[in-house]
Amino acid sequence: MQGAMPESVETRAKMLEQWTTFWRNRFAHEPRSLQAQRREAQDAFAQLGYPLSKNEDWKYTKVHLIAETSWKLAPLAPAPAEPNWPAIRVLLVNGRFVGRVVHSPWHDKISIWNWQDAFQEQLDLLEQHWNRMARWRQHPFAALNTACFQDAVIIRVFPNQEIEAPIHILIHHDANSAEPQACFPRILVCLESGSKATLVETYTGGGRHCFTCGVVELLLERGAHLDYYKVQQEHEQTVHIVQAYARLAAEAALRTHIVSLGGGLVRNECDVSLVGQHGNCTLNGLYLARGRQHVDNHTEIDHVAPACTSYELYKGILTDHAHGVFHGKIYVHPGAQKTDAKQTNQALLLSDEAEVDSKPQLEIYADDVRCTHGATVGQLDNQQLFYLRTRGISMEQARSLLIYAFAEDIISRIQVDPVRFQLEDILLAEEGLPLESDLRKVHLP
Amino acid sequence: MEPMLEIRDLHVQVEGKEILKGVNLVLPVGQVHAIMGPNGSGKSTLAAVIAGREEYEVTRGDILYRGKSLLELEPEERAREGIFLAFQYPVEIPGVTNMYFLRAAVNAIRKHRGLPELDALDFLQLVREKLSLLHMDESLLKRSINEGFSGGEKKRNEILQMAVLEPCLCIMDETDSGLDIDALRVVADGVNSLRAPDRSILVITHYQRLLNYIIPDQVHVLLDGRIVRSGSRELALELESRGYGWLEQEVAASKL
Repeated sequence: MQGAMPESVETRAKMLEQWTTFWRNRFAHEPRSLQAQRREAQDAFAQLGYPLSKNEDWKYTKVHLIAETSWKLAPLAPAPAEPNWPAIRVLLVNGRFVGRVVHSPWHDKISIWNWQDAFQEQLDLLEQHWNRMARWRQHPFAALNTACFQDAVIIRVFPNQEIEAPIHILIHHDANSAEPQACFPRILVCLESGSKATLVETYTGGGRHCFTCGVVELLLERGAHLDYYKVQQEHEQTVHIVQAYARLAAEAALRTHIVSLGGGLVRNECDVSLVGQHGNCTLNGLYLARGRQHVDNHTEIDHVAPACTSYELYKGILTDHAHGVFHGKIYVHPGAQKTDAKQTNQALLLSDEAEVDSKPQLEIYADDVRCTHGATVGQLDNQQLFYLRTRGISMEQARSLLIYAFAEDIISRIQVDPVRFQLEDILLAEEGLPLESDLRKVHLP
Repeated sequence: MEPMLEIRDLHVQVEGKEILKGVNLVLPVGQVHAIMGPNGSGKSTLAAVIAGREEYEVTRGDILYRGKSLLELEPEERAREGIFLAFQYPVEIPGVTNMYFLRAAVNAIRKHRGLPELDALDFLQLVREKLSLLHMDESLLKRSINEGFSGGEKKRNEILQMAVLEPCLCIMDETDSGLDIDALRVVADGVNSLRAPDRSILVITHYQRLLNYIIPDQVHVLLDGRIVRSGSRELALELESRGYGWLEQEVAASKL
C-alpha cells in the first residue's frame, strides 16, 4: 500500500464521505450483489489511496493534483449534438446514459442497456461478467470508478452475429460548474462466441476542473472479433484516466486504436488477457501532445494461454513542453508456449523541451516464445525533408507533411471511414496543410 | 541568349573533404548535356549542389541559373524557379500519398508563378495525361511516396513528377541505374517527350547506355572533381569502348 501525503488523505476522506452519502441515497435500489461490490471498491480505494510517485506504475505520471482537489460529482447535463455519420449510437453525458438507443435493424443481433435496465433485466449477465476484468482491487482509479459510477453502457452481441454498423459510444463531459467535477463513465461489452463488432468511443467536452475517470471492460468469447477505437478529444486541461480491460477466449481477435488528441493529464490504460489458445490482439496507439500536455499510455498484455499473438505499435508526436510516457508490459505465463509478441514504440520530438519516457517491461516464464520490443525517439528525417523541398514544397510544409505522415501510419489503420477522415482532417488542419476532402471524392481504381 | 546553367570554378566540400575542385560548365537553353564519370568523381555531388543540398558547402565559384546566382536560394526556391532534380535514390515517404504530394508540389510552384491552385479534378486531369505518357497505372497515386516501389517504378515516378512540374532545367542523377532495358526505354521516352526549345536537361550517368536513347548535344567527363574533357556524343561512345582509364592517364600526364 502507498503512503499518501497528509492533505490528500484528508481530501480523500472528505471525498469518500461525500460519495458514501451519495451512494446511500442513490445506489440503494441496486441488487445486493452489486451494492456489495461498490462497498468493497470503496474500501479498496480507501486502502490503496491515490498512487503517488513511489508507485512504479505511476513513476512518470504525477497525480498529486488529483489527490489535492476536492471533486464533486458532475451534475446532469444536456446531450451534445450528435455527429451525422451512421452508427448505433449511445450517449453517456457526465457518466449518465442519455436517451434511448435506436437500432431496430439489429435488434436480433445486439442488445444495449443502461445500468438500471441491465440490473433489472440482465442480472445473470452482470453477475457473471460485471467487474470481472477490471482490476479494481489493485488499481485505485478502477476502484474509484467502481465505487462511484452512476450509470453504465452494457452491450451484448449475440453468438455468431456480425454487427456491420459501428457502435458509437459518445462520452461527453459537460463542464457546467465552476467547481472541480468528476464523472465516471463505465462500459461493459460482451461479444458472445463467433460474433463480430466495431466499437467507437469518443471522449469530448471537459475543461479546466474536469476529471474523467472511466473503466471499460471488453469480453471476447471464443472466436469473437472486436475492432475497438478510442478517440479522446477533451479540453486540453481535462484530467483523463481511463482503463480498458479486455479478455480474449480462444481464437478471439481484438484490435484497438487509442488516439489521444486532447486532455491535460491523460492516462490510457489497456490491459489485455489472452486466456484461450490462438487469441490475437493488435494494439495501435497515437498521441499528439503540445503545451504542457502529459499523455501516458500504459499497456499490459497477459499471455496466459499458448499460441497467442500480440502486436503493439504506439506512436507519439510531442512539441512545446509536452511529456509522453509509454509503459508496455508483456507477461508470458509459464504455460504460454508459442507466444508471439511484438511491441514497438516511436516518438517524434519536435522541441527541445518535449520529453518522452519509455518503459518496456517483458516478463517471460515460458521458453518457446518470440518476444521483441523496440523504442525509438527521433526528429524529422533530413533526406525526406530535402526530397520534398526539391519539389517546391516549403520547409514548413515539408515538416508538416512528415509529421502528418508519421501519424498517418496509425490513422490509416482505422477502418471506420468517418472516424479516419475526421482524424486526418484534424491533423492536416493542425499542421496547416490543405485538407484532403476534395481528393477523397475523386474516384481512383 | 543567356545559358540556362553556367557553373564557374565550382569548389564544393562535404564534411571537410573537397569533392568538386573547380567545375566549369555551360548548358545553353534547349540543349541536353551529359556528364559522365567513374564512381566517386563527384557527379552526384554536382547534381545535389545545384538542387541546394545544405550539407554540401560551396567554398569557391558560383552556379548561375539564367544568369542569376543560385547559391543563396533554398532548395524549394530553386524548384519554384524551375529546377528539378531526378534523384538517383528517390526517397520513400510512408504516410503521404503520391497524389497529395504531387498536388502540394504543383500548387506550390503554380502559386509562385502567379497561377491559381488546381482543384482535385483539374489536377487529376493533368496527372492522367502524364501517367499515360509514362505507362504508369493510376493506382500509383493512392500509394505512399515511393513506398514499396520497385527500382523501375521509383525512377518512373521521378519522371512523372518532372512531367507534372514542367521545370526549365532538369537534372537527372543516374536515372538509368538499376533499370532493365524495357524500363530504361520507357524512362528515356518520357524524358525525350519533355525535350523542348525552352528546356535544358543535364543527364548524369556512369554508362553511355542511356545516351543511346537520350541523345545529348554535348558530353562532359568529370574526373576527380573537374570536367576534364567535353565533346560531342562520340566521346561517350569512346568512353564506352575504352573505359575511363586512358582519360585518367592523359589527365595525369598533362599535369606533369
